[in-house]
Amino acid sequence: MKKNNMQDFSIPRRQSQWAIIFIVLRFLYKLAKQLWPLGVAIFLGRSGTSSGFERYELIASGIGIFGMISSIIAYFKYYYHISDEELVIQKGILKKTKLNLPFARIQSINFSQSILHQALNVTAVEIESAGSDQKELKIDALTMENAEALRSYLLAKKQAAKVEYVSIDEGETITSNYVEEERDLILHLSPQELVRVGLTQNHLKPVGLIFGLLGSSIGYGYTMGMDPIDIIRSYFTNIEDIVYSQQIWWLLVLVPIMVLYSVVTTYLRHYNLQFTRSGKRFHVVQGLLNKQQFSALDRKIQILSWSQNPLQRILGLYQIFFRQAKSGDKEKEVARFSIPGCEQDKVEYVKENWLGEGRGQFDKHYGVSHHYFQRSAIYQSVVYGALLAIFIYLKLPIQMGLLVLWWIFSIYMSYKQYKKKSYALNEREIYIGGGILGFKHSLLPLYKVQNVAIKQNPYQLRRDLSTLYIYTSAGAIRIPYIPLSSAQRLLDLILYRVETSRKSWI
Amino acid sequence: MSFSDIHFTNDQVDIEQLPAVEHLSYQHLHKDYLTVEMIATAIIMSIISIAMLSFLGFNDLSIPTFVPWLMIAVLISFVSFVFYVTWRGYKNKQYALRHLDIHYKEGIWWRSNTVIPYNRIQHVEVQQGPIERMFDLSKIKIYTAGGSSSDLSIGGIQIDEAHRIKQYIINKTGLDEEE
Repeated sequence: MKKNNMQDFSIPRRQSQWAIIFIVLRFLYKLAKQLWPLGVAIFLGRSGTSSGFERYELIASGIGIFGMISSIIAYFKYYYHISDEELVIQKGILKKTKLNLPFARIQSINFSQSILHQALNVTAVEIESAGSDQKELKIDALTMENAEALRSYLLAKKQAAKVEYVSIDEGETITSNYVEEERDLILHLSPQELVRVGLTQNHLKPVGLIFGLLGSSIGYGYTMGMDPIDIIRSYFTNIEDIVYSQQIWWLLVLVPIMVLYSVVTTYLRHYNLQFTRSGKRFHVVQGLLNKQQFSALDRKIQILSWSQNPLQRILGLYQIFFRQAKSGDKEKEVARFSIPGCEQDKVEYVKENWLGEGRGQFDKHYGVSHHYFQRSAIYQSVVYGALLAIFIYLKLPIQMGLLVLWWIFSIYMSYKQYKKKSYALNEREIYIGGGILGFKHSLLPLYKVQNVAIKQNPYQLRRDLSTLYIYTSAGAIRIPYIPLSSAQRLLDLILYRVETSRKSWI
Repeated sequence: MSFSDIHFTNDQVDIEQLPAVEHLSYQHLHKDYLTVEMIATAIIMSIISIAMLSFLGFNDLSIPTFVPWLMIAVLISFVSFVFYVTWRGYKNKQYALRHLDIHYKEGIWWRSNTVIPYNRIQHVEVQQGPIERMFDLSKIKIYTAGGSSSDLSIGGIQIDEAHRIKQYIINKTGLDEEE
């Protein structure tokens, strides 16, 4: 503040005053997240009777004032400074917390600015650290100038410290001056591309919700004082009413709304997406309102997946998923993130960089047993057959027709699912492919496997079939309906790879 | 072929030469464990039966006389079914220790066979419940990073043996001993 270049960070100091706003906003956000169902309940309850109005207002303003005051105190109680060998943050009103981050452990220093940050010319600073606890320090708001000074100061200190630490798991020495490393740009989504990506998202996501609401409103009001048969009949005859009445047009209105919804959310979420690689890491930076940053260290990634829905298939775009294990001491939090709008060559690039040159290739892909389809078809037919019997009993011809169509459709879908299910194996990796409408491909190095199980249900038991479960620290993958002997061979091979591996899986 | 002599750099693998799981000879759980499980089942079943019978006994509603008999018949067949399942389940619970991994299989109609390599084990625990204590039996719990659905819990192992197995696994993994 006195001098621009050489700021004295050794004395504890506060953030920019604007930080109060962010602390308050965060408080309100947390509050809203906790209490919104209550708010909805009160709102709905109030529309009937106007009593109790003042009381709620009073409570709300009480909480608001309390939050405001505590946020302001929190701001004044938040200090950061740099000591000889670490960055120190002190905070807390009643419960005082002191966070220390040694320079050598600093992995990267990121600035993130929301729209509000930009308007106020401040930035949030996120300091990512290495090590098993993976802690991240966040300073809500610093002036741009202060933030820059802090960053260069910390980086200089870090360089000077030149501490090398040995990563215990890999036995490889990592020099920690890696912050400045060059980043290789894999993908950058321009606004036009972003719209394209948005258009190919799964528009059916909100459909479940809509149908749920629709269903409950159909059934509502008919259930009082009727015998069960009549309730069922009324439920299904209402579908008929809806089909005949103009209510069906609502569905047509919903289609553009759903498309618009996914385009807008995609645009906001993935705005200015930059997918990069540096050293042994993949990074993603994205977001308009909320700037998000993800990074994945190669050895932390457990499973790599890439998927394509029918729309994405037309445009030749994939969505890449990283599933990684976060190695907290106790918590086994699974960290995953995805990158949309990647072409085939991006997928190949990620594969090769993650696994090594020429890795991740498979000669032969194996399918699963036709019983996978057969059993699913039998089970569905039992359920649909029972429903059909009810419809015949209730004499509902239109519903019968719709049901039969749906029956055929879902059996066809099961067939597609069976046809698409495949797996492949080379010396080091296993591949599992599947999908119903689209495709999903997953790949993992065998040594990352935590444990394996062969399971058989009664149907499989009679036919010497089995399902192989492969558990990793980022979730399980299964290969359904393969001959028991194949499952056993796969199990032998996976165990062999795991048990002879000295590499750390994390 | 000595299994531990193979190193990771040895790329060519003949799958047929790998040690095969199906040739493993599994070990049954201690026979007293069946008694333990039967006692536990009996306790739960008597609580359910007492609840149901007292409902019948204190009920003033005019229910047809065949209903209590029907309920008792259902209860008896249910209880005998549960005992049968406990017995069959006991017979199918088997484990095997290999040089580098532990195998456990269970299930009557839905079978599962789980394998955990020692070098992926995070934590091993020996537990003893009150009924197990009367028979000097215990439970070994094995945790991995693969999630709770894939962790193992093997009951019906004599307490000394359980500690020996635990020690064996810990020596293999190089884990610190934890309780």
